[in-house]
Amino acid sequence: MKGKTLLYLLGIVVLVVLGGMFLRFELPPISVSAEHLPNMYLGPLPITNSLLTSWVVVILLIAMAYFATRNMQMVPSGLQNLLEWIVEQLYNITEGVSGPKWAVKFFIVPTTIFFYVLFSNWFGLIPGLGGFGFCEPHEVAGQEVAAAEGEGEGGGSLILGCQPGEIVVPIFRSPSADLNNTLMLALFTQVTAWVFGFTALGFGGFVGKFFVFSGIAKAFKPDEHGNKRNFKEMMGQVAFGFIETAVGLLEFLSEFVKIIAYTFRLFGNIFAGEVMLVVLTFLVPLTLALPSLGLEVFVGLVQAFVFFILSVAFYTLAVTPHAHEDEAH
Amino acid sequence: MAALGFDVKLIIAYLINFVILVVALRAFAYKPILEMLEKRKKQIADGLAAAEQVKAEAEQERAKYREELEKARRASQEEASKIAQVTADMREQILAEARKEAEELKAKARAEIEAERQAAQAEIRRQMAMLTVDLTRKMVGETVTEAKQHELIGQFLAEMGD
Repeated sequence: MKGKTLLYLLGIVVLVVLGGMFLRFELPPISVSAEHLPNMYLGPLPITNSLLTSWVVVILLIAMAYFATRNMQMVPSGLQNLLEWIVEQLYNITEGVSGPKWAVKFFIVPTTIFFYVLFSNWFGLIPGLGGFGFCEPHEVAGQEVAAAEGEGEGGGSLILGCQPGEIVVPIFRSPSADLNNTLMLALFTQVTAWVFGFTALGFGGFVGKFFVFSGIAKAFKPDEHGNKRNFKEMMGQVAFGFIETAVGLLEFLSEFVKIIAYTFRLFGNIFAGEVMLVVLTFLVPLTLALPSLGLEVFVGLVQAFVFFILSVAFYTLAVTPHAHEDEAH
Repeated sequence: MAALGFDVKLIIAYLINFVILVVALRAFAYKPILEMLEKRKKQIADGLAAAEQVKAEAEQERAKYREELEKARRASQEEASKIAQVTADMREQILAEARKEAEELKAKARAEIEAERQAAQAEIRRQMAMLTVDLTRKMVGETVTEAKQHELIGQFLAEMGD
């Protein structure tokens, strides 16, 4: 047991030394926004590394779906089996949350979000991908950068080979670490949730969930026995009515807050994970980065699932009538 | 907002990208997979229904065979009892015949014995008469004539017959 521990320690020391000797690199710039790839435009659209990665992810996903289902077998195996299993599980969860009536309609967007976010998250974790890119003069990046202290000393790493004063603009960056992408996902989810809400409840039913004035109006009407309310009862009812109205307005506000929360949650998790990996790799190459990589793989999966389940929950909430309407029915 | 890199053009580009992905995955993944799952579910249900039907049919067949077996058992029992009855009747008949034959043999034997007894009695009577005549002749001498002798024998036999 003692010998085994010593062996592990020795292995770690060897990894640290080897990493320190051969895998030294300059800390790449840490940019909150995705970097524009130099001289790459699609019409008026400047292509960023995250956008390029998202195209790669989309192509990979479509190819995976195509190859998995091009020759469907009654007894599945390989990729078909894996994809079927994932899709079936996600469908069952959707059915469990929103019921069989809505599951067929709701299921498509959240499941696509799951696959897209999962692949985006994991794509950003492929070791070495962050260091593969274009060398750009420091100023050209135009972003707030935090370059390594020894930037001017040795002409970059062996792998990157950038000149002094230049920084690497990685070709690939996880789309989840780009706020444009996460905002798009949040907006798409929320807008589709509103569409589902309007379709299911009608304009009045959906808007009526947020603007609830019936509680206040009730104060000026006779009670359930048909008796006229006295002043005290009236005031009590007015207070309850105000609470209902305030809660409705808060829910209305939360519809927009959700978009922001949704946007920054994924971005924060994935961006922070990537920054942590880069910094750990810079500080102690190999040794600390490997377990963190495992953790980030798990975080990537959890975030994808969180987004999936949140989308299903938003959709389900959007088509759920207001509590009073429920009682009335 | 610009510091965070927000750009409407990029958001639209991502949106187009995502919509393409939704449409493609719906066509290549969800639709065929859900159809396959439905098909598989249906096949399993059909298989179970078919198995149930086969089971029910087998149950029916079993009941039918059991009934036929019972019928055959009953028939064989009836046959066996009929055979037993016939055997008993035959036994009775044979016994009666044997009894009758024995009676006849007994009666015949009795008749023969009677006849023999009577013949023996006649012989004894005849012998005794002869002896008596001989004895008488010796006692009275040779004076008894042939005719007298016959008369004496006849007399003696008549007495014996009484």
